[in-house]
Amino acid sequence: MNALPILMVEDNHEDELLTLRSLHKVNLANAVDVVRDGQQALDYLFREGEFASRPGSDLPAFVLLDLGLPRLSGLDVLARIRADPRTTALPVVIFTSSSEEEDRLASALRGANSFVRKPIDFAAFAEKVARLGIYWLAVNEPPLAGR
Amino acid sequence: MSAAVSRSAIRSILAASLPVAACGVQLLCWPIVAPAVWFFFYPTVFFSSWLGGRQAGLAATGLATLLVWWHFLPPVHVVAKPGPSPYLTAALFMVMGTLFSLFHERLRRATRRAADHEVLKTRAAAATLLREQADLLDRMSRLAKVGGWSFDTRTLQGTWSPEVARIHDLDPSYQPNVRSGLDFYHQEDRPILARAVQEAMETGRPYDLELRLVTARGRLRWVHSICDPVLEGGRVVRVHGALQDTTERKETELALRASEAGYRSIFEQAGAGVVEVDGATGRFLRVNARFCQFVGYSEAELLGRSFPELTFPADLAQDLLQTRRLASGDLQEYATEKRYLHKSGAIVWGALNARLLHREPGGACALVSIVLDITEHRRAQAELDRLHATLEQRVLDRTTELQAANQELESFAYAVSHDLRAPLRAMDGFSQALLDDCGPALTPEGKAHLGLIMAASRRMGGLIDGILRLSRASRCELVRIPVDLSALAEACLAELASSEPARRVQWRVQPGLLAQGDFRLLEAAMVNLLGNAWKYTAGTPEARIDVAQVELGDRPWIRIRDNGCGFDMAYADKLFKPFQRLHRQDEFPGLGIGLATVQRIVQRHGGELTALGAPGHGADFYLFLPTPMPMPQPFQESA
Repeated sequence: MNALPILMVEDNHEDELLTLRSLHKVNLANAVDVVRDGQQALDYLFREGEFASRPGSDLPAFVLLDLGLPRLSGLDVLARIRADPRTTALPVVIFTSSSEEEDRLASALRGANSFVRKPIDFAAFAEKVARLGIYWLAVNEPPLAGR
Repeated sequence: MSAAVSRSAIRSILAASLPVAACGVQLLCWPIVAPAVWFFFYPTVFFSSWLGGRQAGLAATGLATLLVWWHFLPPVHVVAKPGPSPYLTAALFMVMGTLFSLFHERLRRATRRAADHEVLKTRAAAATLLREQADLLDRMSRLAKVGGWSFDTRTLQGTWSPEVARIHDLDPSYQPNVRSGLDFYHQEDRPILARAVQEAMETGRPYDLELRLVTARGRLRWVHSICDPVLEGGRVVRVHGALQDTTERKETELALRASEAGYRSIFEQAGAGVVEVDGATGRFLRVNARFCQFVGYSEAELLGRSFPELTFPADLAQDLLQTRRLASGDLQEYATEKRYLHKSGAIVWGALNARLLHREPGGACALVSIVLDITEHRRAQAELDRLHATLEQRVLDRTTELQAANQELESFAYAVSHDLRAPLRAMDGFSQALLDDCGPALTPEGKAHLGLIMAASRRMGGLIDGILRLSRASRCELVRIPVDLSALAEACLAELASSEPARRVQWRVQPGLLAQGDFRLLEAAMVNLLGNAWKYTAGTPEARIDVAQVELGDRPWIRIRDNGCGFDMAYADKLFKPFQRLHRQDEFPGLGIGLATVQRIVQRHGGELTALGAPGHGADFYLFLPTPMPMPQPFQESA
């Protein structure tokens, strides 16, 4: 299990707290960096703007990306991540309230690695977060490991 | 005849007695002519035979010989003078006299024969001429269909020419009389003719009549009968006249008259305006009342005008061009819609159809035009066009509005699916967190309250999901493919069974139930229907679910039957309405959206959904999808 941080892009403060709580429950050692809109997410990844002098490793272990974001939407962020050679291979998990067919299709076509719907039932929510954290940090072998 | 005979006899006797006169003359002239005793007698017998012929000549010769012998020849025994013997001269004279007689006889015969021949020749020529004339007359008679007739006023018998017989369809040998002749006339015309004939015979007044005749073969003919009485000594002795068959002319005349009457009737009574105009000047020659009414002028006013004066200027050039083409024969017919100037100054629309009416030998021609008043029609058409244009605009506006509304609905549905869920998750999540973190500090009542908050938020989440499904069933695109409903039902029931392994439900699904439709929507429909059947049989000891095809009203329906709690038909109308439920939450939990969604799906497929049930006796849902379904296979039981 690598110690890279997880980048969570989430504008809803409650969802952020619930996600962090769920991740914490499974005792993951990885830090969780939170940004609150699409532009911030890109600045974080490409070390621009307020994140120009961001400390730590280059890229997170994976990105937990909400779709309904202020300024730049989740799908736009995903497209920019895939368009840039530095982040083409970065695992991106779409984590959203939406279950619209269009969103799932658009995410897949833009190169999302996974699409996870946020359930309302917190028990189910916590379980999904825990499982996807374990999967992407411990089960999955990322192409960029060690960078 | 007898006169001719006696004249010829007298001439013969006179001729025969000529020698007596000659004898007298010779006796007077004897001193001069002596001794030529035959001097005057030779010419005498020549003339006698010339005048009297052979017999008179011979008689004169004999008489002359006797007279000479008696008066001028001296007796033979008296003197013997020198010269020819008296016997010899007498014999010579007699021979000569006989020759004269024979010669003149031959001459006379030849002359008579020549004369006879001439007479015969003349007579034959006359006969030929007569025959030719008769033939010509007959032929002319036939051609002109004219014959002659004649009746004797005393006997009433008469004759007629072959053509008259032919006109009566009778044989030329028929012997007519006045009475039988009259019988051939039409019963209405017979008294007229009878009176005319009577007057002609009694007073000699001629007549000239047009009559109908019924022939021997029963054919009706028109004839022209002319009569000319012949008067002798102030009395009519004969009536004669001519008869002509005028049937053809009369029929043509009658047809022409009928045709003219028809034209006049059409001209005067037509619902359309009819005008005759001069081809060269365009002046009105004749106008009907309808046209006068159409343009607002009286007939008298119009007859002094020409059509260009009444034509809207913009339409005039085309109208004049076409009129000239009609007049020159370039064009047979000309139809257009044009504007006329009404007397009031208003513009009226007319549908015009013009043709050449007739052309005079001098080149002048008349055109006839039929003009329909289409002003009202035009106005209505314009109004309709205007309405049409605004309607299109309105449809366009409305479509745009609808599209906007749809767009809004889409955004709303998206917002519902995305943004409305987050607060609920927070309520549920933090209630749980509170319970986890501060559980021991909470009273049991406080914990119960947290539990209610969590249940309510989940329920609200369920409602949002239901609304989304219903909305999706209404607006998503329909992709029709063949769908195996039997397989769908089996899969759905199997999943239900695995989700509640404690339940024991027996089901059977008829295999081979096929439909044409959108797979996802039909799947959602089956999930809802079978989910209901599953749910409402929860309290039934031997739960059964049955899916099969049944024929109702000539249609194949898919029936989903359960033996669950059923429902009261009194509330059947609420069954398919969203958020309407027939059971309390504590009996059977639910949102009240499932059947509304199924109904929407079936309607979008053009099908029908209906339900039958009774409380405590299960429910039957009937589903009809309008696609041909193959013959179903036999049942297969499964549990």
